[in-house]
Amino acid sequence: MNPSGNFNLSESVSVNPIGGTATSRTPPPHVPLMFLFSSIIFFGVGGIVTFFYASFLIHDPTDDKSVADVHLYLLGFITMGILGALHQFSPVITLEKLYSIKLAYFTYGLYIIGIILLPLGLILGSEALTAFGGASLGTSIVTVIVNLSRPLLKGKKSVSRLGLRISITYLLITACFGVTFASTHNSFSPPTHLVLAHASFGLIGWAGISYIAVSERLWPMFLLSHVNQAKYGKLAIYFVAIGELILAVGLIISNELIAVAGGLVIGLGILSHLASLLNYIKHRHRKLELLHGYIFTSVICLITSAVMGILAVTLNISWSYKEKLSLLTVVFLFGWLATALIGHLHKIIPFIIWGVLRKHGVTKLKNKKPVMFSNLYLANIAKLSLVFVISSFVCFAIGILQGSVDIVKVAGIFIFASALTGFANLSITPIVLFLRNRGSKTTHGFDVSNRLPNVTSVEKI
Amino acid sequence: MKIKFSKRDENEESNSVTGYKSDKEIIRIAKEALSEIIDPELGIDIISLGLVYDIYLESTKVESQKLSETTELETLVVDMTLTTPGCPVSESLPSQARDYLSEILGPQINVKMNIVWDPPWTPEKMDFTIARAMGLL
Repeated sequence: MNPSGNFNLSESVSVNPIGGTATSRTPPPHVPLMFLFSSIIFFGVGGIVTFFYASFLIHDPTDDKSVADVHLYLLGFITMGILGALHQFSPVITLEKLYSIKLAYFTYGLYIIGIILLPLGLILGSEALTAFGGASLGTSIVTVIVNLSRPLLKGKKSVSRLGLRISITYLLITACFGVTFASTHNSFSPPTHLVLAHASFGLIGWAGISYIAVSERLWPMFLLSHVNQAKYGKLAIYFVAIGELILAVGLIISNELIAVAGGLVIGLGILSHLASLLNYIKHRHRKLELLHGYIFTSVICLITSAVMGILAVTLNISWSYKEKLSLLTVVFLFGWLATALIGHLHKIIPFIIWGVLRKHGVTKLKNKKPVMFSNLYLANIAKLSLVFVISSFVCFAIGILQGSVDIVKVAGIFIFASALTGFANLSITPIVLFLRNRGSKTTHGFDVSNRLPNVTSVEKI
Repeated sequence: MKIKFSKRDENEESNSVTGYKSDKEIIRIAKEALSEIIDPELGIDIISLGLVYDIYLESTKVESQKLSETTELETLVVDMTLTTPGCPVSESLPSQARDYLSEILGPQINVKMNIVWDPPWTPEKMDFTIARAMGLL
């Protein structure tokens, strides 16, 4: 790279054994893909667990079975999805490669073991499984922090890098709480305010800030919207980061006033995040499409979550209603991240797979048109996945408000359906394209048979 | 189309190194080839998108110690940008362009892609007619 920030491709290109030519910064495509596809699977598993243990979610959200389901959603789905995106994007955003590709496999292996054993231990009541699962997840998180340390510490400065540095710190704090809780599961029942602090670190500090940081990079690209400064994004990151710290301190020392103050600062962060989105939409050069349906739904979930939280704090109602509103706050906060993640997966997975297909000579469709990202999934099925996600959160809301186990069971079915359609849609179409086009005679992904005669017709001396 | 050609483009004489009729001819072929590289997200070729800033030829002398001789090498340089720094296709699109140019121009011409961020790309750099037809702008 030269001093002006430009770089010469001939120096930075290396041959990637699986994904075709790529610069040496990005990991092989199967690294992010294994995280991303696994995250969709765990979303579906979470739906199944919701179906079977809906009564626990409604009547005792602190029961181990409810906790198992929550961890499947937040660790299995959200965190694994974000980790997949970070393995792909942090080297691209910061122009610094990961510390080690082998370490990424190690992270993935430990993470999978942990996210299977931890909920299983909680459901079966096995202290050993829970502790081992927690330790495995904790170690995995340490390895991912090491792996991302190079791009996040040495890489190019940006709003996204700032946000990811903060969110990774919160991930570490969340993991410390989690490992402590898991290792002392049967001997020590953590008080609710500490569990809430742990949850807020994970949901807001880690997942929330990560999403805000990554979206500041993805939205200008997907909306073709170029604004000079990501000032609202930067504000959002600072407000949410500071607010989360205040909220967590308030929760840890059981001081309601401090916790509410933290919530208000987070609220300012959310407003800044929404202002950033509006700014990008205002300056966009592309028509609104499927992804924006997902983003708008996620924004509605975020606003609903904030309203529920405000109502839970301000309304003078019975404790049981306060508990329901608090539960809805968390559910819709999860809805914000879940909907946004599924929407972005419909963008991220196709572009990674596109490179893999090119490597295998799949460059043209049946009609001889070049393969686009949008050809790698069926738009109608993606819309169906969105409808399933929306339906699941509507069912969650109604089920929790009415105390209806059956409606929450339906929410679980919708989540499973959304994961199933999403997984099938994002995987089957590329496989079909691959099988249809394999062995096509192309060079570097291009059919040069039509071009070469033109070139050879150029008069040579 | 805002490609600024180098002064060497004015040279209409035959290029003894590449075997092509003229430098201008090489650049014309390169431009034509680049207009077949489609941005897989937007569905528009990189020339119409205004991602290619400059195409020019550079001569470099390569000394071989083994054969103790000096050979002249022609390099086609493409100054190219991307819609956004950190764009997901930032890895694949320039590689794709380079591979295709190498294929088209043959082994006698080396191809170098310079990824430049200054000046940054803006949607105004797009070919207006094509961008409108594609539902952009």
